Amino acid sequence: MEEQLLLLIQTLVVILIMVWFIIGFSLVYRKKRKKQLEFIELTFADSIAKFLYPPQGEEYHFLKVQRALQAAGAKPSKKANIQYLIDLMIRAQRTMLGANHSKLRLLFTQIPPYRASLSKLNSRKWYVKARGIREIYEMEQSQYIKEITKERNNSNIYVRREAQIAMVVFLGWESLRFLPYLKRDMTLWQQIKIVEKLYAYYPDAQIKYLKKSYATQRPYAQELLMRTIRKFNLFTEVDYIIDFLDHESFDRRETAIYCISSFKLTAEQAKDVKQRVFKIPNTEQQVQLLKYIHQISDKPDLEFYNAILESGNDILEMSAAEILWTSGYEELVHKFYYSQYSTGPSLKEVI
Amino acid sequence: MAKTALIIQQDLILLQVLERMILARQYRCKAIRALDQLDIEDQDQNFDIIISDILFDGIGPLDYVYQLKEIIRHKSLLIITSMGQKKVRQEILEMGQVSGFFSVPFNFDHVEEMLS
Repeated sequence: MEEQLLLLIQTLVVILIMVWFIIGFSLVYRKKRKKQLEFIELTFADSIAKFLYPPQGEEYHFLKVQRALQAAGAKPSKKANIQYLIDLMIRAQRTMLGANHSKLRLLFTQIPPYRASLSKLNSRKWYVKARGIREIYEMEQSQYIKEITKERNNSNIYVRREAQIAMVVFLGWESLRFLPYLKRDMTLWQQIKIVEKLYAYYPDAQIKYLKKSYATQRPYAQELLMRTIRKFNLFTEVDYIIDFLDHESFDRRETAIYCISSFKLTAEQAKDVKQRVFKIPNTEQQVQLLKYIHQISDKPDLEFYNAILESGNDILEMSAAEILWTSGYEELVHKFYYSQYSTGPSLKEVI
Repeated sequence: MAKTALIIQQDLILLQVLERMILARQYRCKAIRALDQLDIEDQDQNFDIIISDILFDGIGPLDYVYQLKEIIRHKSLLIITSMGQKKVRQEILEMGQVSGFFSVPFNFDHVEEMLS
């Protein structure tokens, strides 16, 4: 018994010492590693600064940058360092616009980790692949667009998301030739991301590509197009959104109502929208649209509101009455509700 | 006498590139990553230009700009930051005495124009 206990204590002590040793080793390693990464960052920052603004006006050759980075430890044989360098490159390129941006782009095509992203693209692991695609579009290596386009229907959601974003970054409005015809569905988040990217990189709308994709029947694509029209404020294309106001699908109607709310309508369009209010099967959405119509028109269209008052839907009647009341037609509202009471059998009983 | 500039940026890449840019224009330049690296002697200087970030630990952007204007004498102040939300930008420009506000990504040529 005593021996067993002693043995147990001995093993525990040995394990404890091993744990201490590992912790100590890890501390030293991390400290060293952090120092090295900091040194790479410093070297990188220093050499691209010299590359962009050469000292004494002389040209600073890209080979000097390359040599400095290699001396700092960013060699192809050390993958973690190269990955860190790629992150730095993306960070640097993101902060700059104009001449410096294109200078950096040129520099990055000339120094080594250039091919690292391409080999990631061919990896089997989805997270490596997605990361590779992201690096390629962040660093604008547009020669790989063919390989990326192939991934747009990838079974992994993250890979195909990044591929779709890359297509927007590289092809701009032309990517609308592919995006509405994807095999898999697109989430709301992805739709918003695509529209935002398009707006950031290509703020001038090319309506011809938009028009060509109107034929798509895919639900997500119709929503994507509506969001694009809204984001770019394309008032000539509002009719496309109006067509979806009384669509049979709840989500499509929801998107259409959301998207149309940033536009003003012509008299003809307003008339069209008013007719569609009656065809929407959901009361909530009808109320939303009613509020929008009130917002964009300077004078309430009495005929239209009368029609709503007679629609037989309590909630709609209330909204119409509220709109009429606030725009100064109290008598109409009085008249409407009094007429109900005078004919209602329940009131007669009370009297 | 050469003009003097002070750059305060936490982002090392931005700091170095800005420093080079300023040096190329024959300024005397001090580049630091945070205010606590500032020497006592620097506080007597009257800098021609300060280029600063607004995002630092333990202090809000508005307070920071306010204190910066109090502590260091300068002729003009330029803000370059990655925190470029409209609201922050508007609030800082409303404080007055800030000659420019750039949020990343920005064009360095525009910054150079402001220097000359």
